[in-house]
Amino acid sequence: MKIAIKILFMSLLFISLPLFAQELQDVYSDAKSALLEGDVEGALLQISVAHAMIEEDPNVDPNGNFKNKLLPKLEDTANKMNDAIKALEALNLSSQEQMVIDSLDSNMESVSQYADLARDVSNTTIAKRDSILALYDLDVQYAEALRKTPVYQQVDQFVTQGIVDTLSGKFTVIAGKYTENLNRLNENFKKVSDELNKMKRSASANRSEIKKLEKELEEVSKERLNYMNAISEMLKGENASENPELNAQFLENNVEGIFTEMIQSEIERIKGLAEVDSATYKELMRNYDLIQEYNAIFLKNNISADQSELLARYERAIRNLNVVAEEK
Amino acid sequence: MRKILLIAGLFFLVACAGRMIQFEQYSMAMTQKVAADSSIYLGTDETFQGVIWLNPILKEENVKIEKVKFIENYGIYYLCADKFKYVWLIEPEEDGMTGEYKAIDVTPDDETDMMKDISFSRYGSKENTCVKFRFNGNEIFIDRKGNLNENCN
Repeated sequence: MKIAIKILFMSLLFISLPLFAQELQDVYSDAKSALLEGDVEGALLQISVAHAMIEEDPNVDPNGNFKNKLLPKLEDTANKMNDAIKALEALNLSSQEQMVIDSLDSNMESVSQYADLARDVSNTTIAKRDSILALYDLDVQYAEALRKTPVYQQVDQFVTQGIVDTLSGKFTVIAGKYTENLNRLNENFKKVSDELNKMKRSASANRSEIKKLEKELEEVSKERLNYMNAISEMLKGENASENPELNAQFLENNVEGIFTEMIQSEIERIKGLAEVDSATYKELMRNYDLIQEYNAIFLKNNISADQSELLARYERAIRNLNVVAEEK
Repeated sequence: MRKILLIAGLFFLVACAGRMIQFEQYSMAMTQKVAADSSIYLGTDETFQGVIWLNPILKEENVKIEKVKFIENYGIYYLCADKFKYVWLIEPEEDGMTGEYKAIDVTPDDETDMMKDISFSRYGSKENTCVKFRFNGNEIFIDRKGNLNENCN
């Protein structure tokens, strides 16, 4: 069909040629201009018109300059650009296929995997795109023209926005689940914490029971941190203004409230610890560093206000702990 | 004695003859802006080959123009612009500093005409290339001596 249209177009062009009486040089210039605009098909069409003009009347090219020098050179460039476009089309397709995530796994490891995948696909696509440009070794002006082609723009759009959009689409679904889980964990944390405080205050306080509840609280705390980590992973490296959907989801689910409640309850938990060994102390400090990082990410993405004051209280609570030698 | 003189004369002629290399011209038509001092560049950017000052020609044409079109054929420049009355031939002199110029009236029967939709191209064979000049929907061939023809023979 495409060839038939081309033949029809060429026939019409030849019928109309004597009427317009275009100069060979003008046809050549049009071909060059088309190529400089990234219109390879248009350029090849003009080149074939120029060849036909010379074939019809060789006098229009007295020294064979167009036939033997200018047109073959331009045609060679057009063909190179055509091959580069095909290579870019293949790259665009394969990169998009790599970002197709069939099933939405909502576990927290998946978030890191998705984020890593996005980074890998983005980096490899950019590297391959640049190697295609280098491989075809076009003159600067034609390399620049290649950047104007739709397929180059598509690859560019994919690495700058498409990948982020794909991830955001997936993450928006998971985000709701995660914030639900965090709410549940905060409630659970409060319940265990209340039980622990009650146990500590009662006359029948049992050391092993207290230890058990403290351990349980620690487990909930860890799980909660993992969820917070997953949420921050979703936002890491993404620009808030480019992901309004994901950000809206977090705002709607009151991540700020969950976050502040988590820090406050962590402070209470730490204050409730009579003493800690050095390993636990180091772990608490690590957690503090992580929460500080989440604060920066949430703040950058306008999901939460700055929690620095609360975090300062958190740090003080850790530093006030009584650190004892590890139990053997 | 005559034979000796003849042979010596032949040697002398061979010694005097310049050495030749093959040369072909690939000139393309150009459109160039006319500067305020009436100059135009022969060529573009880094590949320009010189400058021509058009004052006498512009004075004779006596029309306001911004651009001129020209082409080189066998070392002679053919120049014109929309609204001009003539095609101008400029032939560089041996001193490399000046050029002789002359007007060709492609419409001798019409004294008032002004040319428009003009274009130049080279046409013919390698050995006999004319300048094809298009104007006002017509075309005419100018041979290397500046003669006007309907065909390039």
